[in-house]
Amino acid sequence: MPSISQWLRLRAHLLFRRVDERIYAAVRIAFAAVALLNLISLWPDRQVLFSDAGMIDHALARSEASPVYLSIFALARSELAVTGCLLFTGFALVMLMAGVGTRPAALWALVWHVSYTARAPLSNTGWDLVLRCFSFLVLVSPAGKCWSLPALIRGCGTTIPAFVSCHGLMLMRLQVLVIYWQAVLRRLVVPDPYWVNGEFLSYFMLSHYARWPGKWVLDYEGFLAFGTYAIQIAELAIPVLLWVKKTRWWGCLLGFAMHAGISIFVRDLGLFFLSMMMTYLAFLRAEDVEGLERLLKRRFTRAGQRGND
Amino acid sequence: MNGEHLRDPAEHRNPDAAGTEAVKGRVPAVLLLVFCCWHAGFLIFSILPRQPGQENPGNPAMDLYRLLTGGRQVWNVFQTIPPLHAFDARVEVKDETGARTTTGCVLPDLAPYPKPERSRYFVLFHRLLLTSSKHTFFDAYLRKLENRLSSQRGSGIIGRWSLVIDTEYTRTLIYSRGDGVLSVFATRSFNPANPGGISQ
Repeated sequence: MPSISQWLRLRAHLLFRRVDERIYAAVRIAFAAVALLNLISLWPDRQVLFSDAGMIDHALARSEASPVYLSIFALARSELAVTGCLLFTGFALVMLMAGVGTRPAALWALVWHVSYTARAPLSNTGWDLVLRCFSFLVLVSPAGKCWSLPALIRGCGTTIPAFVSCHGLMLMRLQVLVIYWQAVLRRLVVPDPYWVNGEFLSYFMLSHYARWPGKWVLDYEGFLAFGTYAIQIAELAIPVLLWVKKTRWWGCLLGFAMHAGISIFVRDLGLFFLSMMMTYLAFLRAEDVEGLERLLKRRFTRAGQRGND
Repeated sequence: MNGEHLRDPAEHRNPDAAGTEAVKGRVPAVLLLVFCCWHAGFLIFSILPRQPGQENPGNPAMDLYRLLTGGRQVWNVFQTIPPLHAFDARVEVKDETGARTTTGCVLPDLAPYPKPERSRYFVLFHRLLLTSSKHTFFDAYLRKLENRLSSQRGSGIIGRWSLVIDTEYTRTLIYSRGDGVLSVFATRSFNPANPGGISQ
């Protein structure tokens, strides 16, 4: 029977093992970029979704919230205030991406995601929920100062990447596991006949989610049944493949193929694809970011040389 | 929560060295360890889906924790097939002569329902119309529509407008295979006096 101190040491080893901070930086930059794209996509609809004049009644959104209504839109209710709020969030996300004032910017990113999902609960999509989870995880993770605007200004190569604790990455990886496995387990706990008989994708391709719904679907039912089962197997396999060092690129490829395929055949899910790809960065290893940095440096050097010529 | 930046090249070459030293100070390290263990356990427990109808966790403290740390961890996108083949929404106004005019249904400025459809608008209308627990939102939306139309066209419009929803439901594949018809058309109109809708 291990003692408490042994147990804590084991947990400490799992959660505080040192990893290259550039992995955190990659997740931070990608998270901020996708959140910014999401904000840009929300911009034309900001009054529709978040202001008092919009589609969703503020008092009802407040009363539906459980256990409390946490939203900056409790204060920012006019059209002008909503616009100001989105502008400030855009500024915070740019700061987060640049690694300037990282912690306050990450805190605001969390406040923003909790706020808008509470204010417009009826219009929340899958990628809103992914971004909300990751906004918290980015906040409690090391910032990855090595890849930031101040480090870039100081000059490439002057900052040695630090080794930082891996707790944030562990939680991010677990989060990805939850996203995929809960979806699969849910279908096992509450079996859906269309997922079981393989007709799910056929119906899906005929729905108005699909980019090209039409009679062609009826000619490819066999292929779409194969796709229905393949998606379920992929959802089970992706987190495991991503987690194992040797197979992480296969997991990445499988996940990319599945989400890219969904984005091609389904309308307006580009942000879901980008959000999920962002989560995969938590599975990178030191050698991956090393290679990425070398590649970027080579590109910049070549571009610089071409500019000098 | 920041990891300590280890600039020592020897440390840099030996990332496997592990322990709470990776976090500044013993107390923050232990606190972070306890939190991470708790949250990891919470996430692992979240993999098990709740039964339908048990989405509300019931425990306010736990619910607050979920709210602050990223949500309720309900990942049920496309649990079953989407029922609709096509969807459209508009507001129809009848004038004194009985002639009908059409306007958009998206508040605040009554823009048309976006075509091609956008995910956010579709899920919004879908939840407003088809989720029975959200009927209070729908009733409030109808009242807002009436207020907006009244402010634009005068109070005489009350009782002479309706929100018209055109839906095409996907037919069962076995029937579609037989005759090649993919969907059946249905139109319903709603207004504050008839929030449940009337078939047309």
